[in-house]
Amino acid sequence: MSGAKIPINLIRGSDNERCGGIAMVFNIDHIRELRNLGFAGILAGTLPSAAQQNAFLSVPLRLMAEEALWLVENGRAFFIAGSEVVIAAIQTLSLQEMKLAERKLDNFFAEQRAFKQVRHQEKLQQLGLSSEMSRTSESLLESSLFVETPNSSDLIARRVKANQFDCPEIQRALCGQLRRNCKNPGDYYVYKALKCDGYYLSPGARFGGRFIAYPGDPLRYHSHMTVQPALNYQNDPLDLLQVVSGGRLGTGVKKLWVVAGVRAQVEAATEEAVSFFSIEWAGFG
Amino acid sequence: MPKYIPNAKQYKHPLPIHPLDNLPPLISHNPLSWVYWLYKYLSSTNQLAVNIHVELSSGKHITVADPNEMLYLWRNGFFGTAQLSRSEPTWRQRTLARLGEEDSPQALEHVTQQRRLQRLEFKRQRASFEETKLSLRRQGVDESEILQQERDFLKSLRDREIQLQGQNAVSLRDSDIELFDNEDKLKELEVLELMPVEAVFLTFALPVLDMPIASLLASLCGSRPTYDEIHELCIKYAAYHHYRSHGWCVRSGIKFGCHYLLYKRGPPFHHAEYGVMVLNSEDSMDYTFYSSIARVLGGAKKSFILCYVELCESQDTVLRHWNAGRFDRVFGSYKVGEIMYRRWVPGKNRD
Repeated sequence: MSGAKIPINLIRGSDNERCGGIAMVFNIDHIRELRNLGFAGILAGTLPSAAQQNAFLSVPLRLMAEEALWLVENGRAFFIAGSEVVIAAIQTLSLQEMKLAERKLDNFFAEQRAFKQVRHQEKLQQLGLSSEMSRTSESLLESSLFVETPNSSDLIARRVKANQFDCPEIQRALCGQLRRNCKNPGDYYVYKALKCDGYYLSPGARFGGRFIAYPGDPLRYHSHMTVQPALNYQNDPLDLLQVVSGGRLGTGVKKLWVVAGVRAQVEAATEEAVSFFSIEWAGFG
Repeated sequence: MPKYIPNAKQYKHPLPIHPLDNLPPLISHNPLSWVYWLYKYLSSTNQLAVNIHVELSSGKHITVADPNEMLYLWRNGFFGTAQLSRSEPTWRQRTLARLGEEDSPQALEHVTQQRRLQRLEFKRQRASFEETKLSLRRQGVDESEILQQERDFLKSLRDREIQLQGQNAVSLRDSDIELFDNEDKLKELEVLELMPVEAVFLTFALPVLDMPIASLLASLCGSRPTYDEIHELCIKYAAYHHYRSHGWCVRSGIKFGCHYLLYKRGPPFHHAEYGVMVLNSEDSMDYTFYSSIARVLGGAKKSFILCYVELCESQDTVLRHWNAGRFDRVFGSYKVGEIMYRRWVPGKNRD
């Protein structure tokens, strides 16, 4: 699996046209691969009828725009965009394939039924009761059948020629679209620079920042830094009140409050063009 | 040792202007006392005998230098911040106490410093004891024995603390000699600095400072300012005046990364309950702006107030009033509205 590019779906929100899309990864193997590459992302899947707490969310994995851009630019992934592709693929499904899928589901149920019946018999024998199947237990069995909702559809995945997106022009266009929609274009350079230094990054709104940086996998380490949205640091002002509250907040949660500055000529910005300044509140008991 | 004065008495008045409090007793069956009372009532004034002198340096730096006036402003409404102390002008007293010249009660700053040192020492002791405890455990010493040792250790710490409380060492530095003038008196180095809005309040709203409001505002914003130049001061002042006139003690919130802190009566009585950020009515900030301030204030058990100030007149009208010296109209053309922002954690906010 590794080596192959990971498809990242750009899901468009319903709210506006401008939105370049939200980067989502649906396949669990791909998510594992991303984790090994140093991308934790955020699991976002839940059921509308039974909303889950953060700790119990499931696939898809939502990536920050910066993460997705980095992956694509470094040739580790490619974007797939547009619901049209999926709809088109659904329309090409033949009746035969639908029947096949249905039969597969029926087989799955039959297997379950057989398994459960055997278990039921065994249990009755253990208890020394007559091994006759009553009507109620049959309906109970029927309602306990397990329906698996797959994270991604095999049927459609085979149809969509995902690779058709994997050509430089389309990818460049999609990158550009995503980047335009970033609120603060400098953030990507900051992200790149930190990524280069081996940090794992997550969205930092919880700690009052753009990113929070972990020295390793977030499951193993506490984060060390809260990184502020990138400033054009030769021109942008930095409010003193912001420095005070940032310093206090950082010290309060035992993190370094980091201001990242990108130099003016963003077009040509590379890793060297990003500077970091850290602020600590001294003299706390 | 001076007698202890209860806070409620020492800080009796919330503002530097007091109600008439020198009226004679009114005796209902003695008409003469009525006349005398009426005479006293009509003849007395609650205007200050001498207005407080302020210095303006580099335009925006407003200071009061006289020690009595500094103390007066502090005791009557907690105005200003003394520059060598935390807030209250205590530098003189602290220095004299440090040099052993005066037997004074301990200033707040001193208490904090001692507490911090004590805590540091305690942490060090505890760490070393934890180590010995660990080594004892490794040697397989009985658990009750270890517990006994721990008790002894804590008791010894407590004893030492009680001992330390009695001591008060005098420490002299070589440079201390420069603190005294030719007549061997301590120089008055400390001044009380007023925020611009405080100075405006004490001239515009209350006749306390010895400076006309027009010249104060001219030095703060320039003589013929544009609207943008006065806007910041205007909305800050509108908010400041709003809270002061509702009886809050308003002080700078720079320590907590916001504009103002609201105290119910004043810093010696309670901690501030609210942190206020003054914003334009149409301001919309990044989410991190709100969340970081709210977290800092929440960590200090304060609520975050977003104070939105709206201009109800056109900018030209305001500017015209400003240039005509009608500052009541200028500040009157703003409307103040608030939103309270609190972080609510179900597990921690049950009572």
